[in-house]
Amino acid sequence: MLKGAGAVLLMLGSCGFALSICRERNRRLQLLKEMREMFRLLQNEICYTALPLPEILKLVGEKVNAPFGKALLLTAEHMRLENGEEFQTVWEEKMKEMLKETSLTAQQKQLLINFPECMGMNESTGQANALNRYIEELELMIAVQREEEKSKNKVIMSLGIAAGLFMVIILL
Amino acid sequence: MKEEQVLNIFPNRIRERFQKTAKRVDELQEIRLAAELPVRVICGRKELFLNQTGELSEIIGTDCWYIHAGEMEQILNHICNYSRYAYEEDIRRGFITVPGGHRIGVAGQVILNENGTVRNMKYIRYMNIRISHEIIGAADTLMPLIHEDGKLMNTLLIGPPRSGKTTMLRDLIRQISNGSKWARGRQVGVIDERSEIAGSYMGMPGNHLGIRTDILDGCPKDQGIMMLIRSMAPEVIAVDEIGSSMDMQSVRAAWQCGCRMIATIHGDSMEDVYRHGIDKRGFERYVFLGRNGGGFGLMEVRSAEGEMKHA
Repeated sequence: MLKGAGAVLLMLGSCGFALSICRERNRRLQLLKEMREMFRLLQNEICYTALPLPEILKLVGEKVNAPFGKALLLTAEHMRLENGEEFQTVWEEKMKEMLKETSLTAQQKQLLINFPECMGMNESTGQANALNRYIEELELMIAVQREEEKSKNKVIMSLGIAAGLFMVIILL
Repeated sequence: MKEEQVLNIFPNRIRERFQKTAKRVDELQEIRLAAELPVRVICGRKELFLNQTGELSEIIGTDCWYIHAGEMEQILNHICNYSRYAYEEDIRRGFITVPGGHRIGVAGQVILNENGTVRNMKYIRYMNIRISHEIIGAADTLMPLIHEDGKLMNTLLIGPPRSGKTTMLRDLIRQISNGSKWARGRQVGVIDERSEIAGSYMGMPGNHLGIRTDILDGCPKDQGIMMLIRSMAPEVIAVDEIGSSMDMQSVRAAWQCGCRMIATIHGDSMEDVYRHGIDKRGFERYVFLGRNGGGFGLMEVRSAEGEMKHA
């Protein structure tokens, strides 16, 4: 009876562990989608309102969920201080702070940090196009993440079950 | 406050060099930047050169700061809040106004539309940072000369560049709007095409224009005059730097609507004024401004009949 209960607990534990890894990966995809939504909103605001960046960051920050929304609001607030810091520096600082709590990969984090590189166009249409290219890059990253998720989640779950069975056999 | 506004024009890595220049803000008129050329500062009537450590000197020394094109790009990006697209129209017109009403003129390579009109500007390699000076009381001497029995005369301020036309106009607006011992306060409408009079930034004026003043910021004068008449019912309309035939048509329309007019124009004689197409009897007071000692001042005031009111 006890052995049976132990076997069930071991199986539940290993499957649960595998499931938590899969969930973390799902959350990564979710974050990337939220990031895409944020940049689409930024693009729309640039196209239709052509407001300066601090204003747009504030407007979009209020619409987007945490952690991105909060980071945008902090960036906007910092830029309004007019302490002479460059946008790249402020953006990098605020985003790195926010990214500490996310599960994004180093490559995904870098894409977000590199966002200021696509700014600086002289015309709003040109700026919107530059943002479009950035969003396309993000789309590509989402597609890769989605594919990986499909295939790797299956492998992770299978490995979780196999590891559970293996421990049941060895220990009991 | 004003010192801070001047420093805020520059990004951090360049700001340090302008600390001493900004301290002389009261006499500071222009900071002229040109890529790979010495940084020049116009202070009072002197032209000074900025060196690498931020000191000002009357001669071009060996340590003179030759600003690089990259540094100018950094300044421009900073002025535009890292959102150049938002300043597309301003750059097309050739200047950007920053908080405090300071105007930054830009020049570089112009991009044209197919029909030959200016579309944008790239490789901005020249900048002229003109410091706005609000002098409360600048129009004290002028106020009695442009009023007759409590009635405000249509007034044209005439002067060469840097003679203080805008500073005088700004204080006139403030006093006319608030009211003075010469006349009651009047509803004033200001068409601030280049955001120099009010120094508006995001709709909020940076200078004091009085309690009865409505400001149409960034609007072409010819359109703005009629817009204000239709929407805000001004008693007095104030505009800076009229000159085109379209401007004059709108000024005449304002007179027909019963509005009084206060305007400025470039020039230093009546011939200059007529050359701009101003009607001889259109304005009732012609105020000539010019360099006067270290600053600017009132040179003479004439009536439409040519009668000298002040000399």
